[in-house]
Amino acid sequence: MSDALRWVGAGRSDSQDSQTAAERAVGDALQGRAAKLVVLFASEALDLQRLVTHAQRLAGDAPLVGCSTAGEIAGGGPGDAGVVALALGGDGFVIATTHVTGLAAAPREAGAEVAAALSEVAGAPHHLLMLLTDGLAGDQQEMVRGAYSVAGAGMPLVGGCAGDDLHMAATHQFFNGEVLQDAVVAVGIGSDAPLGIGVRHGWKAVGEPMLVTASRPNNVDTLDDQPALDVYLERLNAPAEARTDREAFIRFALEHPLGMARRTGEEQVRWIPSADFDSRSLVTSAEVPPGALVRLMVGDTASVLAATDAACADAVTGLAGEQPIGMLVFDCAARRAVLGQDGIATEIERVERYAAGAPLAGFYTYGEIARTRGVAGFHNQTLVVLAIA
Amino acid sequence: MTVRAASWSTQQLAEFVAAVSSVADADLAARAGVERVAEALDADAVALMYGERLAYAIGWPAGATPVDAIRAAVAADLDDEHVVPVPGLGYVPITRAEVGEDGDAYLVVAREGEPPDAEEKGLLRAMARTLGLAMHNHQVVSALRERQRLLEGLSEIQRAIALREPLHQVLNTIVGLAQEILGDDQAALMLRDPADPDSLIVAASTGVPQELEDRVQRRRIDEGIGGRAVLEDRLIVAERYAESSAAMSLFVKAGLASAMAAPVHIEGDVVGCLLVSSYRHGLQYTPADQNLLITIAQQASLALTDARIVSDMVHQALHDPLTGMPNRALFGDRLAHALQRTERTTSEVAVLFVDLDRFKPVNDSLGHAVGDEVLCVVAERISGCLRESDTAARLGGDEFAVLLEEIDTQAEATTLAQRIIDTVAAPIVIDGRHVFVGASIGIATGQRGAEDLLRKADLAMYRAKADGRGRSVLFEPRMQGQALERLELEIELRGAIERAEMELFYQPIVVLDSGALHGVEALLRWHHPERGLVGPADFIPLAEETGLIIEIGWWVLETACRQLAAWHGAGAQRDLTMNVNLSGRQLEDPGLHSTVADALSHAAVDEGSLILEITETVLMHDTDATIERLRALRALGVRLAVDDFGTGYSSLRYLNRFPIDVLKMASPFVEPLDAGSERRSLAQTIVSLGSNLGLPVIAEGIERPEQHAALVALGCELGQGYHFGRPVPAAEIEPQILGKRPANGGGSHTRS
Repeated sequence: MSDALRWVGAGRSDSQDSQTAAERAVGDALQGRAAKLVVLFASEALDLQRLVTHAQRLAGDAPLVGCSTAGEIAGGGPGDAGVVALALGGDGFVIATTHVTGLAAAPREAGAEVAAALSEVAGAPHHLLMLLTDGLAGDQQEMVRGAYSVAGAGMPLVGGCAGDDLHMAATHQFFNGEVLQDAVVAVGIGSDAPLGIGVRHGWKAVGEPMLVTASRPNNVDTLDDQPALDVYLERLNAPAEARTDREAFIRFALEHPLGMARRTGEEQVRWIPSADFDSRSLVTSAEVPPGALVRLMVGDTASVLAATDAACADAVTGLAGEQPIGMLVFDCAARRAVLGQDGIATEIERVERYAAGAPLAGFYTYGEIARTRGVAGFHNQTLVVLAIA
Repeated sequence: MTVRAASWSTQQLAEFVAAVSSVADADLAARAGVERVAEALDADAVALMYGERLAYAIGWPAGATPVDAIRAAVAADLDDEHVVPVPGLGYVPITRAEVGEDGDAYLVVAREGEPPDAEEKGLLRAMARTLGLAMHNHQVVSALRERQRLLEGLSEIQRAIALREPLHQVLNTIVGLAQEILGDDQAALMLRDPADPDSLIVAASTGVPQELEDRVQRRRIDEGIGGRAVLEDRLIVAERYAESSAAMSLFVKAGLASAMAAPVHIEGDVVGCLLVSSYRHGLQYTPADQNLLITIAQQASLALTDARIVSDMVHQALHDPLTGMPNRALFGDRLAHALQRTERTTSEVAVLFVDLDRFKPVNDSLGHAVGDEVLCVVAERISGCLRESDTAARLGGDEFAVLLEEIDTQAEATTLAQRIIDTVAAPIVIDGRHVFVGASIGIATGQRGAEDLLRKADLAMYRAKADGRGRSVLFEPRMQGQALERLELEIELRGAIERAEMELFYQPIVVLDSGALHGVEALLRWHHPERGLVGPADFIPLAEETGLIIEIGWWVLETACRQLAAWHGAGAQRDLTMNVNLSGRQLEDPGLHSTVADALSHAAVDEGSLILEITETVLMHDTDATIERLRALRALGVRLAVDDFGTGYSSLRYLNRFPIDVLKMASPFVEPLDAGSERRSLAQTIVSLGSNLGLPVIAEGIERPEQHAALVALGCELGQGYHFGRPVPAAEIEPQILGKRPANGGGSHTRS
């Protein structure tokens, strides 16, 4: 039992029985303590409603938030088809939670609404909003703009888009006992101690830039006035199966995102989750605006792992000398594709090194949220690390 | 030190231009501009100021933008360093840039850390200038668009006045324009009642909720914004309606937020007002809005003055010019009043919805002048059936309505309805010619809901028509469900061709003595996604009623001709014929001739191989126009067949009048042919008639070999029926048509 001002606990389970999985993961995270918040990341392979019902029962009065994944992250390494839980408690934390559905139809309004509901945590010495969203529902950058327009520059944003093990069919968000779709679940975290955020991707632009000549919020229609899908496949000399088979395309595109130039050196990465073979357009999870110059991005194990180190270091530096007591990790599902199974094990080992024994939980995402400066807070192919002191 | 791609600022500007110029209006351009600046420069907060006014800001928590500090920063010396507070970050240094060229609009950018370098400052200036241009363009465009719409609207009214369109129509146009241009929820034109100058009557309105409409149709002149505008002869503006001393409690309760009324004049005298009102809070009527309302009210004054005398005007606005009967608006007013009076009693109000039968053919064949006379006679006859206290009105076209007050049993209404049906059915003599029309009547009774009662009576009338016309039907609640179902079917039918749900089946027509194939009849089938295969009897009547038959008929002709051409191309016999059915409604369509001609030429088939079938009942309602159309069709070279021959009562009469090539003997004459010789005489008569007139006869509905044999013995030339083949898809009949399978002379005897 801990009576410290702030505590963080984590647990995981690979059980395929939802009740057992909830009991192990949440039980280990709580260790009998009364939490102020329980966060749950779980594979679509489980019966999510059953999982969430049991997890909420264990959490008691504490709010429960979470989402489905494309793989789970915890101390001991990455996993699939399982559950991870993180709990935090103690008087040093102020927590508020809310959720909104109807994200696809009105992303900006959804972002604004959750941010407005959580403004109370702004009074704490250190604070941020964590957003878990349905990345398959609408323009996520627009959602982040909505949250920013209400919360303002003083409120950092972190979080990620739920996954569905790369089926790209439907993802789910958890809010207390409910399993939702097309939703944003949001947590306002206020703390007496610092909260540190690190954001890096490690991809590099290659080749000549291309002009986006026509696009919509979730599609790039033409590049240099040519059908975007054809330009993309040609430039990358894509293998034959990726040109006709949607599944093959999804796997191929994971490793070949687009990049948009930003003020600071690292491009903002835009992942191509899918393509429309009929209209020859590329599908995106956030707007790639017309008029933008985009370049093809490549990454290798060394550069992606270097970014892992840098993101963790940035997050820990943000704690202003204090030690982390917990870490949350939002890691793009596409990074798995580049790193491979051994690579992601190495990556999580490195994250654990920075956590220095503190409990750790996270998941492989369909898009990452990290806004510390400016409005541009939606990322792809990126690692976002939140360190809690 | 930041590291950037060389093309960074150019690229940012390209994105920015696209973002601010792709949005729909100036407000969205302001928002997009501010956000894109924040994104491009990694700013913590950005504000767009127009003079003293904050147009849009991002980076400050909602409602906490420090407008005063930003104003001070804008007004300060350019060289001084300025900061603004950003919650969570403290005081943050700002950079500003002029938006547009007027010198009163600025973008203010707050960013912690590194101050912007020369490239970033250049980019900011360029984005600010671009934003100014984009917003200016949006403002100019929207102002132009508004002005354009106003001009269009005013000229529309002028045109309506000049063309002497019915006054109520002109007034409706005026009210609609006022609502649209001013963006309000409700608009109404009210006129002082010449019979009771202390009250105002709504002559035209739009957007008034139905539950309020009945209760405000007539109001006292000393209540409401409109009454005040009339009494004081000036524009009255109430931007906080509930607080206005002239507010009506009814509208306050309904949540009306603002209202504005302008007087309407005839030759200098106030006769009414034009009123707009809104339920949206915070709406302000700018001087420009006020001028607009006055301008539109002047248009109303012009329209009213044009009709000269006030009493005439109001009468004209509330009466049907042809019959002198009350029109729909006055009927609604009377009905609403009757319902109010009924509230305190146990009796009910009845509404009779009267629709004339066979009026359209009269109007089409004898001309509009005769049609108008018929309507006047019918109006007189309906009025003659009523008590003093009842009201009859012409709703439009051949639709009338009757209001019966204080009835205690529905039988009173049905008795009156029968009286009306009988008197309307008596021949009408015009210029020595007897004209016959009838009436179908729907009845609804109740104690409330004027619009609702009228709608129910309308539904019941529809049922009366469907049940065979010349009768009255009382409304029953299930009719609403049926009407909905019909509507659903209609909606589905509208897309059926587009969704390729229609298909033509083909049934063989054979030479009876040899069994050889002579031709095919094309029969329409609908593959309904839920109901399965739907036969024409279930949707053609609906298609006729809604006019969809024209499109469907066009598709059938095109498809049948193309199919015939395909079979000819694949080696089918050259004299193979294609029979296609025409509906009565298609015959009324002036475009039928070109539809047939087009279908023939598109498919490049020989005109002689197309036979158009018209049912006998359609020919019985013959008109000169129908004969003309049939002649024109025949001139194309196609042949005409009478379908279901023998079922009408005047079969011989039209054989002389119409240009006919083929008779199709109806199946009831074929059915008894195997029963015994005594029942063959009718079929014998038809075959002989065909032979005497030189018209080939096709016997329909041959199901058994005995019938086949009997027809051969009678000398009947051609036949069709299940005995030879059921209607089947093109692919199934194709082998038979291409000679790969013999005609079925004695196939299946069972219907499956």
